[in-house]
Amino acid sequence: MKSSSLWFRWALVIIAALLSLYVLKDLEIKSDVLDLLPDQGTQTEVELLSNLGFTYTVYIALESNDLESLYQSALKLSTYLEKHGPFKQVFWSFKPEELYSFLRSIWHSLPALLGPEDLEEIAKRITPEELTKRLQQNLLLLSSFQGMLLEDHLRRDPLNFLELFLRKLQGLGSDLSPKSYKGLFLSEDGKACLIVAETTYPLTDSYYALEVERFLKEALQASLEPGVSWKLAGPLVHTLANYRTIQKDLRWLFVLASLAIIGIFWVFFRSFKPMYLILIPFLSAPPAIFIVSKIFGEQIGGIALGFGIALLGLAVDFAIHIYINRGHAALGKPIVFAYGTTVSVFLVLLFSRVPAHRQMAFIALTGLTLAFLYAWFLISPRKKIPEALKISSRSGSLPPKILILLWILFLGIGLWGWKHVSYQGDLRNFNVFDQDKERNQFFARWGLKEKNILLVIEAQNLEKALELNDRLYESLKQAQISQIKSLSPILPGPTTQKANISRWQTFWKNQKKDFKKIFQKVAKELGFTSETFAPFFEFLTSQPKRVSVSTFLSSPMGPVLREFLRPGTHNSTYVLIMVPEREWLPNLEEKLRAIHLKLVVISDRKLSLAMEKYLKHDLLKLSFLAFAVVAVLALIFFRNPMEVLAALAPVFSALAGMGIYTYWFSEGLNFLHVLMGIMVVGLSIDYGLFAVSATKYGLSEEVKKAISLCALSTLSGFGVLILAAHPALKSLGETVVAGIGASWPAALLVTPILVGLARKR
Amino acid sequence: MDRRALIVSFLGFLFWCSLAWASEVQVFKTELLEKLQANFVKVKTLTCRFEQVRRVRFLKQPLKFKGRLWVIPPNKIRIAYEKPVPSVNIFNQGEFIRCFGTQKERFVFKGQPWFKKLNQQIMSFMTGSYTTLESEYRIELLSNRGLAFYPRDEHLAQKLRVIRVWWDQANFWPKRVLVEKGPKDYLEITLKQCQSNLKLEATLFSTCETRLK
Repeated sequence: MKSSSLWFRWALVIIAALLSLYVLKDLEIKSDVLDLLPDQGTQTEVELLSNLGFTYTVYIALESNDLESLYQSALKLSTYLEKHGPFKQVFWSFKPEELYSFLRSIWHSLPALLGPEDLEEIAKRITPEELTKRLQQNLLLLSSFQGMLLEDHLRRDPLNFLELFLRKLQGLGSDLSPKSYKGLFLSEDGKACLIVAETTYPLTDSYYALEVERFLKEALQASLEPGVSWKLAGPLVHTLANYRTIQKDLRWLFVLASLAIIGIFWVFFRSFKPMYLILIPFLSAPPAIFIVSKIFGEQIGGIALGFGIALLGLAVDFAIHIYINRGHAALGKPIVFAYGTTVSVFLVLLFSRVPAHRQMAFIALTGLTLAFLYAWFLISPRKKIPEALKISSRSGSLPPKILILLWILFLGIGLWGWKHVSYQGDLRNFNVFDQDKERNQFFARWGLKEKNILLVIEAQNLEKALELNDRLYESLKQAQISQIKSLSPILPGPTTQKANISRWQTFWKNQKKDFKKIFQKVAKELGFTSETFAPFFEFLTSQPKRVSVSTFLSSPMGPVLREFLRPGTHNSTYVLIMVPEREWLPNLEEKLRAIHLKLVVISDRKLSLAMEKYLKHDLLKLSFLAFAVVAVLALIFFRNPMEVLAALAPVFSALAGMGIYTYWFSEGLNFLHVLMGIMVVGLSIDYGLFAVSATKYGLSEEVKKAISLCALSTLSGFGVLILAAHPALKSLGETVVAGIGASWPAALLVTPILVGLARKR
Repeated sequence: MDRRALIVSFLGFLFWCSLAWASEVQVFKTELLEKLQANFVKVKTLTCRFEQVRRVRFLKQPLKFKGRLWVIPPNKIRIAYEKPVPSVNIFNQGEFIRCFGTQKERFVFKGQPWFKKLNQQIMSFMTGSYTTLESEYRIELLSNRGLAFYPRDEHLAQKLRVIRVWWDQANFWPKRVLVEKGPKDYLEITLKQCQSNLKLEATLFSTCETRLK
């Protein structure tokens, strides 16, 4: 090949890369962790959590020993957030006085809000004995300091019907800390107040999380009184912690990996010149991303992009083999086959239910194809072509039989490890810190210690949502679930309200005459004037009104109610019910879903189980499919079972290595282990393939050197991730170290013995 | 000196006098509040008998009660009405227990926010924490060793005109409390036989049924 032609080819490739980079400058990268979830099974729930606003919420705790400083800071901060920032709603105080005036305003609608069980309670309160007791109590209360303020209330509601409604209201926040100061939500120790702010950005996205954090810091600096400190909780904290840890990890690991690769190349070639091989995958990345962006539209997931580009690093292996064996007539077959096996492994990933997997497989496939072509056309042959490899079935100093026995033992232990490996479906394990512990510690300060299951129904409008909510609430009560947190008892739907009013009127129609006579007799005996309880009888004879949702939402309880009634997509409404996780019964979801078709049940445990199921059934199935495809290709290529076994020996070793590592050194198999495992299978077959081809087709002596160089570059490029602080990166590194660490020696030591045995046959 | 100058001088003198008097009153009020509060710091427990008269416009006769109260500052109070209808009210930190006959009502102050606020104020009145009440009430000095508390909150002022409290000149313990709502609507409490720092049973503030020595 003329050197001018080679320069021309390099120039073309560099121009293509630069042009692609220019076109891609406006590419929108969506960096949302939700992309890592499967399409069905879990993503609906997680997406719903996002739609409900949970991934948009920031929890801010302000701390101080001085309550007034705390109040002033909370007031200023909330005002600042509401006026300036990306916050659409800030909830920070609850004014008891306002609640009292709200309760007064709904007094004439009380009959619409009291259900049959409340009427049963009222029936008990109007017996002559109970009536006497209650009016005596009122008399006592009137004589006290508190009673002086409750005078009007006692005249209007002597039997305390409002208490029946208040009891329901208490149910909603029954586990909340009772402490308060000027309406602030104080922690149980009374030293911190809570502010809940809803942003307009999804906080699982690191780009927006950084924006929100920057704004929050400005707001906190401008608002906090001296001596007041702050702490954040919610998705923002997790997104940022993960983002920063990954950034930090990648920064120093990139330097470490680069130095290691340069060192390895120097040791192998005693020259820096072959370092240009590393450029090939980098040059193939921009055109590959350009092509994929055209297929997937303008938006590519950040996770898929990063992972896809990293996978392109595999293309260095093609370049190394081509560089070392260029000039050998027999190079063509094994290199094309190596490309075929790697590509087929990624083709399998296209069947994954995780969108990010499909995108990264596309990027890797396109990039690997380009890198393969680049390597073929850009690498000049070495001046001195090494001699062909001599066939030898001896490997190292150990006798072949002992080596094979040791290998079989290793595979046996690996198989045993796989049989006993546990599955980690919980995505929270990829968090840089213990999310559950952090969250529990933060919210436990306000009394929120219980883990809840979330039941969500979407309806066309608010009224319909309340109707469906009533029905679901009734179903849960019938299933004998207790401690249900629902709007239904407080704000029933129109149909239930109508039924409540009708029941109320019938009840008093049957009672009124006798009741009034007895009541007035008892009141007179206790010394009350005849006019005292006129407001009460006026209430009983008046026509009850239905109460509207807007009355409740605009009341001081509005922010609490909005937690249960959230705007959905396309003008719809989501209505939520919370049930303690310990109350949840197996199979209840199926039963409820049979009645309530649109019901979605969200729980940490369910999400975790769904991911585990996906991991066990789908991802492992894909891995075995990848292995099967590789085995079939090897069979087509070698047509000799022993040679196929020899080529697959590094793959078996890699799988055994991963099984042993996962069982003994890791907390369980997660989906990143499996994903990286698929890549390790693709690499390991290449080692086996070149080791077999070296003897079968007479490649150079240096093929072992090439395999070692490929393995070492992968170990230094990906394997260094085992040193990462971030659990997700660490998982990737673990798989590579365990897999490649086992397949590399197998390719050098076991494969030649098996090829020798095949030859003898 | 002409007549105009004389009038101006006289008015100036009056203004100066009123300022001096106001500042003296202010100093005296502050001193009194501090003295009362300091007195209560020494009080570990307080036990008194009381008589209470409540006049309400829609009751034919005023209500008269007799009873006893026990206080452990800053957050434990037991008020036992003995005659004519026995009943017990206990405030113990965040909890309020009310016993009437055999019926016992117990609730924590959550969900009853206004009631909680009110009870906190009662605690402050009973335990001498008057400085904490200054944000809620305008405090004025009464001529005969007493203080008048006027609610700052408009809503509260509609229901409660003024609270007047008088102290025993010898030991600075409350002697008489008059809570006025209107001319014929008031609550008057007279405290008697107060004793401080007696050893009190812990059960006094957790159960209504405690037998009293």
